[in-house]
Amino acid sequence: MKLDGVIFLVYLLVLLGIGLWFSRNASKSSEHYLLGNRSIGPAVTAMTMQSSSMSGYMFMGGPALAFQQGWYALWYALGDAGGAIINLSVLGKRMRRMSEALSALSPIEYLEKRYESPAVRVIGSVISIIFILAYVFAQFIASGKALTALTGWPYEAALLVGVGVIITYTVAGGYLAVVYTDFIQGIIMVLGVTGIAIMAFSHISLGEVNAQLASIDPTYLSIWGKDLAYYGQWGVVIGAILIYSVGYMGLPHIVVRHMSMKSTKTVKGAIMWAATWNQLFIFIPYLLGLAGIVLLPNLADPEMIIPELAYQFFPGIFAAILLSAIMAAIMSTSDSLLMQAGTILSRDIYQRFIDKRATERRMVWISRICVFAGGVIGCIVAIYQPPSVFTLVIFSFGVLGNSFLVPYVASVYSTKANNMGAIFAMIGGATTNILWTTLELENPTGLHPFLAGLIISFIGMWIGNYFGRTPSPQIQEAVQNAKTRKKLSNPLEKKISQDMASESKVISDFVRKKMYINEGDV
Amino acid sequence: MRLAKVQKESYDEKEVLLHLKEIEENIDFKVIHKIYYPYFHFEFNVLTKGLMKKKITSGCVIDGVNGRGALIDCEPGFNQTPIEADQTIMEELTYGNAGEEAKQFMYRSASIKLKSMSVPVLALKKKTFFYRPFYVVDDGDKRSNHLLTIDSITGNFHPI
Repeated sequence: MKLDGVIFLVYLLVLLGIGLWFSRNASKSSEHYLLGNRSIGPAVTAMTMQSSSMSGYMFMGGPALAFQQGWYALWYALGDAGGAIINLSVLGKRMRRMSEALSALSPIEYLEKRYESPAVRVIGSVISIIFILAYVFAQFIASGKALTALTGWPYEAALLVGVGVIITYTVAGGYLAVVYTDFIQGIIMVLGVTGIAIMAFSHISLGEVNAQLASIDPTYLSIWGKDLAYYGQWGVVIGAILIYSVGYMGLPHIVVRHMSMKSTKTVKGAIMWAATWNQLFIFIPYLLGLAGIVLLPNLADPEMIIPELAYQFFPGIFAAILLSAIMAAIMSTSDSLLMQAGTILSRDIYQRFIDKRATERRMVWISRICVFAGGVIGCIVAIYQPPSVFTLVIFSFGVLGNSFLVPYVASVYSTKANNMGAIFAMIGGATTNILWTTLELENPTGLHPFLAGLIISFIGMWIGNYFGRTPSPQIQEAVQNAKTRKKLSNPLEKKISQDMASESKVISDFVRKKMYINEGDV
Repeated sequence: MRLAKVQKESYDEKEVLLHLKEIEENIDFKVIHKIYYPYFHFEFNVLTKGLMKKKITSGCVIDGVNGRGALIDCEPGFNQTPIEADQTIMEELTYGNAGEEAKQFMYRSASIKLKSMSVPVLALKKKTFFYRPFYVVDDGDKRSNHLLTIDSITGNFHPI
């Protein structure tokens, strides 16, 4: 094994030690054990979120696309950076109000309650499980590549070891990934990649990169991709921008509710700062991909730009630590996603529809089987037909987005959107994206698979609404209320506590009843 | 009027108004109701399995109306307080079904927070039924008529 492989093993052991130390330390105030991340603070949490949640894509897929297509790749970054803001400011508020009104804890539960249809939940769950696993497969491929770079092993062997470690680690309990180690990894990755960017762009400025790109192939500078592959195809460009801005909606956001038993002060300003930093950080890996065209012209595998630049600019040991952090973050991302897929299968499908009284032990076994099956299929795909990390991430994100975007938007903007509309939209959107991608219809049609899926999903919702049940008066009222809630002044609006939504609703009903009775007395 | 176990509040009526004034100085809020909301508090000994066996104590509260669980950061303190029936929201859960909800919630939380796919062993250590005081305030403007619910422990609020 190369020295770098030894460094990786030492790195994992150090993380294990940190995890142990913090978990022992936390036991002194045992109630903080499950709430560990709250003491870290929102700024750091937000800063590390982007790097740890998208590790495989961020460090391999994104730079590779920029290396292959030039500035065209930045469309994806633009959607990623701007989309979150648009989502939060436009759709986010209405969806939050509707979620509160429906007391929904997860996006899939939200869809079932809004469309008053268990079938919506089943279809949504199946799509989520399959394409979360596809997203994890991309992480598997990235882990194989990172491990190959660290150990010098052949890709297949490295992949099997990497996936084996991820699966064991997930099933045994991902203790390495407790929040403190996530935090340390996040910091190493953010500092490492920023360090590589500083070194790379002090070596050659962005202006010089552009000048050199122009001399190598001017189409690298075009917004239409290398060799003007997507010239005039706004359908492809719009799809590229939209995919990250909305694809995340299909990923489940599982949260644990918390209630403070003492007076608290929140620091929302820090979140804003960190969110801004996140937006800027999104662009760095793509810019490194552009620099890679000039600095690493003979690179055989474009997905290895960041590791190669790390070895070029830093002493071997630092580069190995950075790669180890990336590898460990890939493990952390994978185990979170695998667990989410397992949870959807066990709770949203098995417990909800097959065995309502299933024991916790049985539920855990269902989750484990899901993780194991995902691991086996992932290995087969990654060894026999390995797509690029970028292709797989875009595909899985695209299908998730195509399945859920239209049902989500319609759920808050239309009182007429019903169960059949949602089912048609989900199935139509997902199927279109799958066919568009596998039959390679992007070039002949000039439409990105995501945009094609979006159009069909919209049509599906429109047609399906003629066949479904009219939403109940309660749902129609909730949609209206989500549209028209009276706006508070800005300072108050910013400090609303979403955790109190369900209590507030109960208190509201209680107070209204009380006022009504009092008025009646008068 | 009856005596009930009520969580010790951090904000009284005056402090709540002061707190809101700090956030929005242009509005003169007025407390119009004080409401007591029912909760069940459960404390468990949790034995985790996996690479690092560990025994911890952890608590949660279950909303007495809709059964929603929430992790808590420390053990709540209580007072015996006289409360009026028309200020009190009636619980819709019994100790039995709240306890079942609490167990399910703890399993889910441990699995998500500890990223653990093993089943921790839970042993009930303590259970308490209590009320948490909330204030309802009005902005005094008949046209906008904004009502807010304010948590008397944290000072957090949510519009009605």
